[in-house]
Order: sequence, then C-alpha cells, then structure tokens
Amino acid sequence: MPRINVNKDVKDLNRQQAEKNREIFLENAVFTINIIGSPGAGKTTLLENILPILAKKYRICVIEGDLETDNDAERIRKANIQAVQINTNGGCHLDAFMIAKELKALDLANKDLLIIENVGNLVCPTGFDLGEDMRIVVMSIAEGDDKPKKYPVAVVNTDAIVLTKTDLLPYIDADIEKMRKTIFEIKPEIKLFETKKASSIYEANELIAHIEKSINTKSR
Amino acid sequence: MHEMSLMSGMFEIAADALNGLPVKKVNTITLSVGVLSNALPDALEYAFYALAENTIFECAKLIIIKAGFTVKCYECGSEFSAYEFPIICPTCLKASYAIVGGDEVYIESIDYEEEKCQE
Repeated sequence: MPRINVNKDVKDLNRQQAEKNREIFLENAVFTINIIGSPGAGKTTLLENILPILAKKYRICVIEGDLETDNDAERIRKANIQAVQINTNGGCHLDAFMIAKELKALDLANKDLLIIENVGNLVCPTGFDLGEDMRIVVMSIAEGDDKPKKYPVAVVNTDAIVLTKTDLLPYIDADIEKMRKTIFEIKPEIKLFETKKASSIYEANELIAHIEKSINTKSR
Repeated sequence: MHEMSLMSGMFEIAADALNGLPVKKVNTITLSVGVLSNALPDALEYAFYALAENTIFECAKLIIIKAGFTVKCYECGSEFSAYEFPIICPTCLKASYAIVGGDEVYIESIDYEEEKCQE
C-alpha cells in the first residue's frame, strides 16, 4: 500500500495568516493585544476601565469576539472607542483569518493600539496566534484557585495574566497565594497583575503601565 | 470544539498532499498531537468522521499519536521531554526554561490504495 509522508502541522495554516497579520500591524505601527479568558472572567470590564486611560495617549480600536450579540462592542463604543464585533455563531475561538477580514474596517494607519477580545473560553483560543504582540489571559479569583493548574496551556501561551475581582477575596474560598505560586511554577517569566474595584474605582495601574511600556518598546 | 476547525484544516492539507496521485481510497491518516495543542483525541476523531463523509477519506482510519513537548533549560542548556507541569530540569534541578513545540497537530503520513490503470 503506498504511503505519502506529509510532515505538516495543521496549525501552520493559521500561523501563516498570523504572520501576515503581524506584518500589517508592523507596517501600520500598531501594537496588538489578544485578550483571552473564561466567560465572566472580566475581560470586557477590564477594557471598559483601562481603555479610557490608554485613549488619552493612544488611538485605539477594538475587535470583539463572541458567539452571538454585539453587546460587548456596544459597551466599548460607550467609552467613545471604535469597536467592531465578530460573531462566530457557535465557534469557540477567533483565528487569524477572521481577524484579517476585519482589518480593513479599522483604519489601522491612524491607530496605535488594537485590542482583540477573544471569545470567552480558556481552552480553544490559546492555540490560535492572531498575529498579536502581546497576549493577556484574564482569570478571576472567583473561578477558583485551581484554574491555572487545570488550564496550564493558557498559562504557558501568554505573556501576562491578570487576576481580576481580588476585592472578592474576603467572601470566597480562594487562595490567591496558591494561584500566584502555580502560575509562576508553570511559567517563571510571566508578568502577573491583579485588579480590583475599591470604593467604585477600578485599580489596574500596574497593568496600564506595563502595556504603555510594551507599546513604547516596540515603537522605538 | 476547535477540533472541528483543526480537522477541516487537516483535510485541506491532506487533499493537497494527495493531489495528482492515483488515489482510489485513503486507508489511514496518522496524526501526531502535542499535549499543549489542547486538542482532544476523542473530539478530533468525532470531527474526522463527521467531515470525512462523502469524500475520498470516508472509509479512512485516523491514528492519533500523543506527543509530549520539548523543554530547553535556560540554566544548563540541556534539552528534555515533558508531559506535564511543573517542569524541573532533570540535570540542574532549576525551573527556568523555554518550551519548544508541543502544540502541534502534525500530519505524519497518509496510506492509500492506488487506482489501477485501465488499458
């Protein structure tokens, strides 16, 4: 029986498109962030709170990924930031081809920062490079302190993790020290940030400073 | 279920590889799937049989080989294989490393039956 040795990675299809996207971002001097996390982890809330601050320095646009509805894009537009919505109609992740289709509508030549909020899911999106410069995984402490251990690929494949809702610590059984320890065990060089809402002010200063530093390093 | 989209990419590459060959039917496709790919063998199989219907792959069998990942130690430079976390270098016992691969869904080979020439 004849055999043909193929020796090809199926993921190369997405990877090649991701490289094309990366070139487009570079040509337009746009810094791109891919945000990944479970449904309800606080991805959109994080953006609602940090984007108005970043918008004082940078021209921003957002791609929102969801199975259905444009609720999240609407939330971002309320902060006067351009947002387009991708509905995957059941698809569990965004891929590089879906992003490429949206880029024309975004006027990248006149933007500094593109934020992509992936479909709420801590598994599937982690395997798909979109061409981003930085990946941020958002995990709320309310999801349980075993999540980094249960989803190690999400931790391995990201530059930074944001632990959200830390103001809930007094009310739930989550050991944040255990979460921190597990995260660094899986990826020692990871950047870890924590956010909370204290007397109605969302605290994410360190994360914002890190994003600004990364944008400036790339554009130099 | 990102296995469905991975599998449709798999068929695209497999059909490409067989293009121009005298294929009567495909018997087996062998995939090597890295543990960091987050692709579940059962879901890959389900997607395979669902998408193979009414194509030259319809009666083919899918063989999945589970692959670990290679780790390169930053401290002593040695390379070793791992399957789970946390990772500690077996040589210098440090935990400072880069992961090299392990997220692939790799098509190794395709076995097929040839169309016989009709003279």
